[in-house]
Amino acid sequence: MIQLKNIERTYRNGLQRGWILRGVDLEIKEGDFATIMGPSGAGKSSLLNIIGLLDQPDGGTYELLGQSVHALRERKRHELHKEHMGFVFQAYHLIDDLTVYENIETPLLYRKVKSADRKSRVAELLDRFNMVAKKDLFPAQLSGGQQQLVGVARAIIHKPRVLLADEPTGNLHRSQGEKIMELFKELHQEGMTIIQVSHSEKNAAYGNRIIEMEDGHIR
Amino acid sequence: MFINNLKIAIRNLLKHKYITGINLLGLVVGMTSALLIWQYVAFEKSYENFQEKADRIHRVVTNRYVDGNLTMEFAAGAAGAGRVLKENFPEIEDYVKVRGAGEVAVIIGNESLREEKMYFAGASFFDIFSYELLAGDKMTCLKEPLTAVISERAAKKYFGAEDPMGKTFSADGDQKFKVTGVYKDMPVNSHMSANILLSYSTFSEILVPEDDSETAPFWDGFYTYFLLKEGVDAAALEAKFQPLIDEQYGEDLRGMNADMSYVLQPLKSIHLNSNILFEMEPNGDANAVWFLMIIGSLVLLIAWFNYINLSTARAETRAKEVGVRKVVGSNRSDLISMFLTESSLVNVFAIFLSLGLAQVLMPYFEDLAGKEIPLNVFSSPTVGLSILMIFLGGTLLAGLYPAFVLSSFKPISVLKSSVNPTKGRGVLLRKGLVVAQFVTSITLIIGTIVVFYQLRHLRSENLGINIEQTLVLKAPTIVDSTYWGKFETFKEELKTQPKINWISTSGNVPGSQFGWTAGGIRKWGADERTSKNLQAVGVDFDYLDTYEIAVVAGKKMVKELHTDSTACMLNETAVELLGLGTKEEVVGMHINFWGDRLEVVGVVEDFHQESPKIDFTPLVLRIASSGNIPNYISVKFKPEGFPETLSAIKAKWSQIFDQNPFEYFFLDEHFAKQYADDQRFGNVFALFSLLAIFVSCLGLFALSAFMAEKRRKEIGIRKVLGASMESLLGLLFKDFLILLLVSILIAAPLSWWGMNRWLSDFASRIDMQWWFVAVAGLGALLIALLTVSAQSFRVARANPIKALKEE
Repeated sequence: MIQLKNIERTYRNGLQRGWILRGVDLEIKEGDFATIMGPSGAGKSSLLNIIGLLDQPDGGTYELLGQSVHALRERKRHELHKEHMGFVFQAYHLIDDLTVYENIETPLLYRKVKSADRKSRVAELLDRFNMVAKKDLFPAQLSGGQQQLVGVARAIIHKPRVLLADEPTGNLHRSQGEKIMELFKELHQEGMTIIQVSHSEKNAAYGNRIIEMEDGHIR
Repeated sequence: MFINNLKIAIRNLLKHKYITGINLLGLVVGMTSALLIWQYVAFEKSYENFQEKADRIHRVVTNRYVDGNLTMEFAAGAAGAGRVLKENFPEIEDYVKVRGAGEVAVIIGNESLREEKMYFAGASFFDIFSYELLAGDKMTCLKEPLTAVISERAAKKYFGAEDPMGKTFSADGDQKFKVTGVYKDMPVNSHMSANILLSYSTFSEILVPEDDSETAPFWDGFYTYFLLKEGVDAAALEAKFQPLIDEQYGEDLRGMNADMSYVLQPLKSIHLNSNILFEMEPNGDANAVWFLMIIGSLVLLIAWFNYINLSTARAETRAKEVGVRKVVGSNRSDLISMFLTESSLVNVFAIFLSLGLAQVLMPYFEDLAGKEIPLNVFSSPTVGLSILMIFLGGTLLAGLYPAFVLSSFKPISVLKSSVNPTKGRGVLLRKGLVVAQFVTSITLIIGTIVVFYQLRHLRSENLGINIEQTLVLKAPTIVDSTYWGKFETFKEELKTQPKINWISTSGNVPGSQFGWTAGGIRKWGADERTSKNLQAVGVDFDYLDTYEIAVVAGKKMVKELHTDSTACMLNETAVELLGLGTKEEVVGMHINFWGDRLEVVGVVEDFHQESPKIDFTPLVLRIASSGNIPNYISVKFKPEGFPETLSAIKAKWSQIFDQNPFEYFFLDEHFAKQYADDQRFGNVFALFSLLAIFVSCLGLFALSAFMAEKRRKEIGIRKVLGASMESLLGLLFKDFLILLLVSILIAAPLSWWGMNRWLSDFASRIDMQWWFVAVAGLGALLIALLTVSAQSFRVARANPIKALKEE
């Protein structure tokens, strides 16, 4: 499903040039639940952003579902991102001015889903995540775990092929974190491809693959 | 999607009430100002639009030259212009002549009322112009001698509820006119405003013998309007006039060393662009209208700048939202439309508020502008639509830039909390806009100072005459053979009143144009070609004493020595123009005034007949001959016991001139009317300058709040490190201070140029002073610092621990 070959990502600092990612080869199969691990600055998040089409590599090739992403134009890449990717962040990144319901609904708005369809899909997810009672609250009125649940719901509402998560439990208490990981496991069992970045061995244990990184390489 | 955008926009606006309020207030002030001013400007430009044939109607202006110099431009020009041009040029379809009938007492039965706006008008008047006839036939109503067409207003004034058609009235007791038509009061946006039109044939067939009034080339005072045929090029036609003038009058003109020309003036350009001798009504001033237009637009522009500044300054707080939305799938265009919805909402709301507010404030604005403005965006669809288009266009532009900036953020950079990706974005533009706002404000402050200084200067200028404590009576117009006797009696009896210092009669009083332009004046016996044009005023022997006009050479004219056909006096400018020697040398010379041999007995100091705005004109004062009825009686009274004095005068008047209405005015008030236009311009200028500054400060206030808020952490750290309050405030002021200094540097030459242009209209004017700029600059500096400090103090005084803990 995803094939990365010799991926490079560099940065410039004055006259110096440094590597964030260097010679990364990686294949993710449909239905994988992979965890990218490694110390701070190893390039985990950068790799995740490239896979999620939020960032572009400076070198190498990226094939997604048989399409050469690296050769595509910005607009087309955005379309692919919109269709296939769902993102969960460590800091939740919900929109403060929108209610729970509206936060979850937003991705559907950008995909021009019809109103009736939107309602039923959001309702379905709210129900599944036991959030129906909280649908009219604003993010600030929720606990961190609840916020992250909304974050996950928002990431999967448009039925992406890949769910990308950057330290999804990093800001959460242990029990809340476990709940999110259970949810990931469930989604995985339903066939969702998941790639997460995590420091925690315990979280990694929920998946079926570990990718260890160090200094921009995969070990 | 739109509904969703709207919902989000409303929520966002309500959440940030403070910013929304400032934006809204600024926009409403800006839009209301622009609306009021633009409506006024549109009205000033709407003159004669109601005339169906306006584009084909041209007024003939007569220009007169002496020695090759243009000396006179007459709106009411040569008597003979109409016929000779019509006969020679087939391009002219028709023409109509109009001539002022002067101030006349209209008598109906035993009652008499004074009518000022009365004209003789040719038979085709209602065919050429589109003034609406309510009764009578437009082709024939002004045809016969001794017929009159009156306005609705006049009909009500003279005939009350009765039907005026067929009724008669007499003018000054001379002729009796029959009413043959009634017209709707002339629209306010016309250069003409007549209450009664008498048939021109009355003038040309009864009052003036022979055919003089239709052929005389040197008799001015006739408004002539041409209706050109469709598609005629007025400029090309005008070019053909000169050869004809040469052919017809060339010899006479050369004999007088003079020349003349006829100029075609498009009807629509009269109101704003014509300000020459004998205009029917005081016209507008294209320059003033242009200045106002600019000011109104500037206030609005400043408000939009505020909007742009505040929106981009807020970029940081909205960057995260943009990032998130992009990650969950929004396109840039989705975001742009979201931000545009928000800006449109504020602007559209502001537009509605302004439309309402402008309606409410219109009466006050009319007071300020000193003018009724019967036009608004609702009454004129074209004006309404164009203003709406400007508002919507501006809304779009003001919203577009922030929308582009905000939607440009890359999600991965804004979602990483550690760096601030918005830094530096739009900062240059923001600084540019702040500078633009301050340049505008400072320029307007300087403008206001200059305008008021100039007005003060005009009022304090030594006029060379004393116009205080002067009561002016309008002389009787209903006269008979006993008039002169009665008149002398009236004067003599008033002179005996202890509370009256002086009394004098004259053809004219200060505060109005000299109505008498006398050409052909030269040294007695000199060649006709040395003739000059002078203004003339007929006075009596007490004129100089009454008005305290100084004699700089020779002496006054006195009753015992001089008569109307033996003596005259000149002013200094006239001495210079005639070029016959110094003022001492001129005394004792004789001049030829239309065949009269007049001795120049003295020279008077130049005095301001009109506002010092207008330059001194060459003047000859001569004794009014007994055949010439003076127009005014000036009474110099003692201030104490004035009411008794007035009633005594009135009693005497009724006793002697029974049928004539008793009308008077105070000369200082009459004179001050000339300043009214400039004073009003000054008031409007000051008001809108103030609003511009207010809106700028609103923006600055909010902007400084943002800047201070943004630097809270930095200030916290500096405070912990021991920074003093002063150094912190300095830190916060520094940025604005630099912008302000730049603004002053730009505003100084700009206002210098603009105000010199404005001042150039005044003959007597102040010089631009460096301290105007200094005062305006310091004023702006002070206002800006006060505005900025309100927020800065708060932040600088805050407990640093709080600011640092939040991260």
